[in-house]
Amino acid sequence: MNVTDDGAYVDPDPGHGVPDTAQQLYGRTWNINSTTTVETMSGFIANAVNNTGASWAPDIMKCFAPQNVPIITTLAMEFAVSDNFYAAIPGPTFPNRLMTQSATTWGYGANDVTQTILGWPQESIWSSLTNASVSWRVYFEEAPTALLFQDTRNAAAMGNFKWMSDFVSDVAAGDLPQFTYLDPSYFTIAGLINATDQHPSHDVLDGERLMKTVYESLRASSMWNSTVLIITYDEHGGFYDHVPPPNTGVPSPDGIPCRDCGIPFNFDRLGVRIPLVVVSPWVAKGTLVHNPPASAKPTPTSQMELSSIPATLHQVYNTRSFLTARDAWAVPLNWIWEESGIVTPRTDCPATLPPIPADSSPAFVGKPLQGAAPLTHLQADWVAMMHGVTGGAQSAADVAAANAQLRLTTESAAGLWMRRAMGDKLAEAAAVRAATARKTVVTHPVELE
Amino acid sequence: MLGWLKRNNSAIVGLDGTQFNYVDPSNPSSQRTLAVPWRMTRRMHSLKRTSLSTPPPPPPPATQA
Repeated sequence: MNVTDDGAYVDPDPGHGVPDTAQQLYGRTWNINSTTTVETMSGFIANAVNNTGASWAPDIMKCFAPQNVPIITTLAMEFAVSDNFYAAIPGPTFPNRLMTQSATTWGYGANDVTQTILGWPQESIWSSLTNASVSWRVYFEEAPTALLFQDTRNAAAMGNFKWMSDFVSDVAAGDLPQFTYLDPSYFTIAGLINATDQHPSHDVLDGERLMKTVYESLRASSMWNSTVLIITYDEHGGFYDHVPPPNTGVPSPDGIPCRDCGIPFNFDRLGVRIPLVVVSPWVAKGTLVHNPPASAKPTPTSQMELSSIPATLHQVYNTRSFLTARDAWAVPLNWIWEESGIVTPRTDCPATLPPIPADSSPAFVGKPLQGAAPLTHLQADWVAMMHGVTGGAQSAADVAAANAQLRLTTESAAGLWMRRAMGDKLAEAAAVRAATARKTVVTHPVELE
Repeated sequence: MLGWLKRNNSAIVGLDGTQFNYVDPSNPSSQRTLAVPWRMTRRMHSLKRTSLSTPPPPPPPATQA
């Protein structure tokens, strides 16, 4: 039995930390810094056996058939899809999201709980955009990923956070900033939200619904002809791929070696391939994004990876500088729509996307527990972040005590608490901004004197 | 997720069904994968998920049919 196309609902989450990914790439645990050993992509089953037992291993080789994920398939075929786009590091969620939003992890290769609580100190794209007077906004369901950074944990930055439920009406009103970031929901809350993050053990169909809603809203809006929608993922999730990630010339972002990888790692190689779909009327139908033109590559070894996001923002919005050596190296993505050869926006883009397959489809039997399940590791990390944002915790022990007091024993309970805490935080930030605005009005005449 | 798009566009570097992993990468005579019904594995591993500091409440008592 080889790789198959019967991908389905899975539980638990496959291993995709740095040591796990090293084993998946090389078939054995080794020093991932070496660039002399051939990546065989041969250790996915072996790693699954190590992590979760032999009985679960076949699932690691099951991938989704296109007809079972019709939304992203249609977008990929109608617009542009890349088969040469990579995670920024061979590791898990938070480090790759940190790379997406700051081009460095500040030396972390795992979802470090303490730093998650305290916030990461490096400059993020959010303060970089603000400093360049570029408008931005993050839509979210429980909390924005942007709150991983210290430089967003203030009243001014929080004025750019909005609930996902506002997205459709904002788009219909033509009210989007220059740069918008959409966080999916990470928790299934019984009777309120089905998680849309497509992370085990959530149903990928709910993520498909989110993509369909976002696309159809933008397509119907007055902003469509000036919009580029980029859909990507933070990492491969531990699932099989056969293409070795490039490891030549990849610069360490800031020279900080990994503090917590468990094996030596200098952030000088990429992770496994991840999807990249670029949707815009300025992209030709059926575009395959494989090799960027030499004119788009900052160096001969440059690749398209998650650090291409901050690189693109620097190039498009002329921010003050690159954030690290990594986004200075990564290929900005704007060549995909700026060098597409299209001189007027397409008029043949579909107004609607296909219907979502029925939940009774064989590939999706085994729905999640509708919020009653205990938290996954990732959900526990989101909760820790929120305790840090609210000031309710300074350490992992504080988080454990607060969780016990709040009885956050299921993803439904934790998701609800996240939403309430975030709502309180946004209201508090709005009050601070209002008070600051009043002070400005009062002091202004004094300055004139 | 996009591996099988090669069916839709043959130029895509994607899956064609010939790719495989051995259970033991250092032993080519080992099995390529293990055939276990995925429904069984899902039930087994649902027990391994992370809980926070307090355990989930016990399930309600079963009702008699």
